[in-house]
Amino acid sequence: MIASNKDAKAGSEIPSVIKKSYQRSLDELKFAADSIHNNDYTRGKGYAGALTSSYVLCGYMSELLVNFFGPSWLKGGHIALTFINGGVQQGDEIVCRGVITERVEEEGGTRLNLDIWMEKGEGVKVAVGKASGILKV
Amino acid sequence: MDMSKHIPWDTVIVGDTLGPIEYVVDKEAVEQYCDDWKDPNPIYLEDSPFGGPVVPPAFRAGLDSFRLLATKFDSHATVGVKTEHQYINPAKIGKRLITTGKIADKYIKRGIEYVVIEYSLVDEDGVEIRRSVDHIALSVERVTDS
Repeated sequence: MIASNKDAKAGSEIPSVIKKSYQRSLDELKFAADSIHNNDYTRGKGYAGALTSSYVLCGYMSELLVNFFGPSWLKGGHIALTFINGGVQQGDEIVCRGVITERVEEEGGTRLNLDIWMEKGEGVKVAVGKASGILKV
Repeated sequence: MDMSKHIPWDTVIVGDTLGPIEYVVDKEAVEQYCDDWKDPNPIYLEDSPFGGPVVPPAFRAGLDSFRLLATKFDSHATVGVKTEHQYINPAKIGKRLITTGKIADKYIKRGIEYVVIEYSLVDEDGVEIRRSVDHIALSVERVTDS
């Protein structure tokens, strides 16, 4: 794993982000009997429990990328995620990870393309996708 | 064919517009985001190269699509399965933000009904903040076996 974006090259893993999943509304609100945020319903459908919303998980992946690219992520960053394998439940420990797949020199800096993913438990991938951002020099 | 109990398939019209929805992200909302996500980045709380603190880029990213869908449908049983965002400019704290979107597509895969929402976010001055595309399952209930 590289220590900073100054060492960025294809094949390098960027510094990961570890979180304990938390969605305020799952603690504070009651959900309908057929909501994916209802524990009984989701368990009945084969999930481990109420699903954490995709926007919450997107926020964790965003932190991974803001940490790596810095403020330039907010002007030119691109992220695409697909949620898989039963999602994330409240309190799960998750790890957000990324590997650089390509460097492209362009006006204004170096664009880095990455494969990104989120793991929970024993390395089970619960989100996979791509990201791209500009490394300012 | 059966269909989602809450969002009848035939009422989902590709091309229909959604929104606008307007909201203001104030300092307190950003502080709560940073606390909930345990992400106290100083560019959100203190200062940034953009002139003052900015709204976290993922703030409501992947949530606005559900809110937009809810302006026309009972979306309480929906599930986000894909989310994609292009960040154009940072949003300044305290600005009024406006999101609008459309139903870009709908499809059925492995018996589950999905809609694709394309949407964008601009601020009160017309500055474009974010372009997004989300794929949302109408529910986890299968409507067909295939």
